Amino acid sequence: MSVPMIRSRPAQVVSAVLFMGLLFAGLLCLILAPKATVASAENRRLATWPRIDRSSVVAGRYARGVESFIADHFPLRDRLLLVSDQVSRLRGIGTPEIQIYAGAAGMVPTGEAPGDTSPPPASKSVASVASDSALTSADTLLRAEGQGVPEGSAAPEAGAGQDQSYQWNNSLVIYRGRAIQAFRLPAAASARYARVMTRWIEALGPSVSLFLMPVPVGSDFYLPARVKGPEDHERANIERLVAALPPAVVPVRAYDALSAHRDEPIFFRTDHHWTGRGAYYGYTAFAEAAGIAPLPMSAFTRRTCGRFLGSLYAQTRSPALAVTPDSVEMFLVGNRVEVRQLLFDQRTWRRGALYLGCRGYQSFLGLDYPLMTISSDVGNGRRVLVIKDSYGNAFIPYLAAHYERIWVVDYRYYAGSVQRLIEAEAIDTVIFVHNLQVLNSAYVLSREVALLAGGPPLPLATPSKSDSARKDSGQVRGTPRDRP
Amino acid sequence: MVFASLTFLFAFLPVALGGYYLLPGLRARNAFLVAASLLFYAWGEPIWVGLLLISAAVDYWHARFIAHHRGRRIAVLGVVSSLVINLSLLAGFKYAGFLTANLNAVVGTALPVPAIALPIGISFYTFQTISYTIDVYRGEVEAQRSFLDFLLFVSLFTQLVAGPIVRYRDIAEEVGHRVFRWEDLSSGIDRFCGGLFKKVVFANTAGALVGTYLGGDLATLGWMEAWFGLLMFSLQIYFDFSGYSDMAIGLGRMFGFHFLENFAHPYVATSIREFWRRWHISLGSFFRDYVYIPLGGDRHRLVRNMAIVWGLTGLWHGASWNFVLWGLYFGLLLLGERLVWGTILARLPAVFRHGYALILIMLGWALFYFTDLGRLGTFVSRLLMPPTSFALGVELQGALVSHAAWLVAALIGCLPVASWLGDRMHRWIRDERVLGGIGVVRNLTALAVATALLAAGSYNPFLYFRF
Repeated sequence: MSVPMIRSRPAQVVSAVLFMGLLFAGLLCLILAPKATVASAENRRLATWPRIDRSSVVAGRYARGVESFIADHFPLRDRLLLVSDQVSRLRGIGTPEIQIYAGAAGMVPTGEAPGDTSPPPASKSVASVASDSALTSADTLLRAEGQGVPEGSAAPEAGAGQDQSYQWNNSLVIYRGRAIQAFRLPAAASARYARVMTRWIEALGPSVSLFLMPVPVGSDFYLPARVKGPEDHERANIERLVAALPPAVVPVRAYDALSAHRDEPIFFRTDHHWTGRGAYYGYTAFAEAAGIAPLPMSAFTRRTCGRFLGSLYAQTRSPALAVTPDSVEMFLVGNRVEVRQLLFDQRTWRRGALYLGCRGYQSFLGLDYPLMTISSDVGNGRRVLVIKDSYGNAFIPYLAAHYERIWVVDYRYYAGSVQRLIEAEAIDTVIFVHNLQVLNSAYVLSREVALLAGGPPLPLATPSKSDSARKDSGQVRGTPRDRP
Repeated sequence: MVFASLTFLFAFLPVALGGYYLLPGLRARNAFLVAASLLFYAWGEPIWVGLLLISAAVDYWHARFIAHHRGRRIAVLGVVSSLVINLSLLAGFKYAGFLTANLNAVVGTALPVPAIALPIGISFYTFQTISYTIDVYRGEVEAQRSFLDFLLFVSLFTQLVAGPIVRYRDIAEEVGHRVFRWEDLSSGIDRFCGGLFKKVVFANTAGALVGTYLGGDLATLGWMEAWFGLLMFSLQIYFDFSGYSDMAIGLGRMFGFHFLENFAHPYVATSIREFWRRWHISLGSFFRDYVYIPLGGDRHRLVRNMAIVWGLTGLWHGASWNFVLWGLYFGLLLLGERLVWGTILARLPAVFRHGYALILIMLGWALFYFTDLGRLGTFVSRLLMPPTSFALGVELQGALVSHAAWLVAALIGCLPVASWLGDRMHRWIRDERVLGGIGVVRNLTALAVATALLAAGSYNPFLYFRF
């Protein structure tokens, strides 16, 4: 060892006092500072202090829980994230033209009850029985077809992402100021979803028209050629799904409509959703499939707002995205509407709106509520139910120009029986709107079969937060740290 | 618990340091350190504390037995019995699955392969206690009378889980008689902050890159990607392990213990022999003193001794054949240097000798990384096959651009540049206050950067579900 840098006694004392002072300050702040419950930038709940009991201590869950709590509630966490961004930036000599964030698009949270209100009501015992049987039937359905839900892939993004060169399906690629979810699943992966449609046809009978709108995530349109390769994975995947659909289901060709306008801002560059404009082209494709004359874009009131950094920015914190934020473009429907939304407790109804001002993608309908109803003054008596993931939110407002009553079910959160809803409200048209990542997930298969009968959202098998935290602080594989 | 975590840095360490220095008298402090160490060890895996205590008790009593019968033949029984028990524990908890699986494969039996989660640190503390008992037998140290003080030697959290392998004779004096000195506390902090920085800034970053290249489909891995991945693993393992040793040595010093060095810039070696004098020194000297020399060392059956020592050295790193291969690979190279090409090598220009050592060390890391021998074969063939193209893939190009400055710093960090710079600074700047100020700023910056990066590790946004 070399000569120590700090040799004078006073400097040694100062060094020791400052070092220990910092550690103690951290500890005190950790104990005393008020604790947040939610990290909105990360779209998740923060860890709570774990409950202590014998089994959790012995199994090590308690210790992991404490570590998660400390990591989530660490003083000045937001500031430290900024420092970490700066430090990470210093590692390089500029930004590469193409940045790849492997696995960044594939994170899902633990299966807690969603929402902004209390947990599901006590009356759920009946519902959970229904859900169990529905789950069983979904399982049976899949197993019968030799397509069992792969273990640990109950999450929407998990999939059989085997690819020739790189397993990039869960990767984000940043290229020319745009974050793109690389879609690389084999074409056959989506065909499984056709079986869900078969189940719905069996359950609902021929009196209900079913539309399915698979929406690409933009991978074919925006991935740089070097990454994408010659094949259009999204197109192939959709074509395979459409070919497998039972004849009674009408496919909505959103891909082609979007593809024709790929040079327009149809997808956010910093968020994983399509834009109001993209959804407009989706609406024209739906209108064509349904035999409705779509309104021209000029028939809507165009409004833009905001500087919006969306979820993919939150995911990567890439400065390449931050320099050119998105803006939100809305095409307001002229009809007078009344919107009501069912909150996550599955009981409370609240008034909502089609557009909620300037709130990023949440400008469209707000959150993903379990159920919404929209009454329009269009006065034609037509009724439609939309079953959707969040991609539906930007699309649904256009329907208010054509349907007097619209029901909107979020496939993840609605606990009621959709079949009963359809029968009770005499709904004759159902539109499924899903992005390709969702359509290829195992979760959507079991969940949408379960939706027919109803039941609370299924628990998700997800990577736990503490796992990823430990990954970072763990040791090299195989180093003599005595861990396998 | 790992050192490079927010829980250790901002909960365990302040409480441990605070409690230790607030208590009066060495006995109370030793008792407190033992309690803290047991908590540290039990954190997350409490069931193995019993094993640690058993292992400590076994050698405490065996050494007492040996000391009691000193000079008589019966004393050797203490050594034999201690070895049998310690090695059985190691065999049972670390190698049982490996041994059974191999037995099944060779003999054709169908014994159930036990899946025992490895008790953390067992390889380190069993070696520490073995060395203690043997040293007592050899009369090199007195047997410790206080079980508490002996337990302190075995369980001290600073080196419990990742070394260095501390020998009792090196700290026997300090267990019972330590004096507080500001320079120990201060230099311990220096050392700890440096090690933390190595681990968090260099090892973790390299580790994130390793998986991309070595963890994926090897059949399509390009030549450049293969070597880059191997370079990243070489950096990761060095900074991780030596960073951990630095933190251990630094923490020890904060509590008044002086451990021997464990790493001495191994990548500047000009031969494999030199590499092993610089890499994991405490392990090498353990095998030298307790296996190689007792077997006869250089004088008697050199090749057999080398094979045993290096096979065991490999196996110590993990219960898998690739580690044995890794050990034997180095044994073979050392024999070669000794008997065949050593004298020629010594006459070559330094640049050639560095290249020779580095390439062989890196190839060794490939053996170390891949526990699956099939994947190992594929990877080595990617490394050694003549490259079809030197074009960089998109990913590698991106990784190089976004890590160029870090990579240069990491490569320089493998050289003894810190001590060189320190010496220069002392020559240029005579004012101790200025030097001290620089040192303090350096430490706090390292702590702050590591904290920020660790905190960012908990940043975990979700896309598809809300809460």
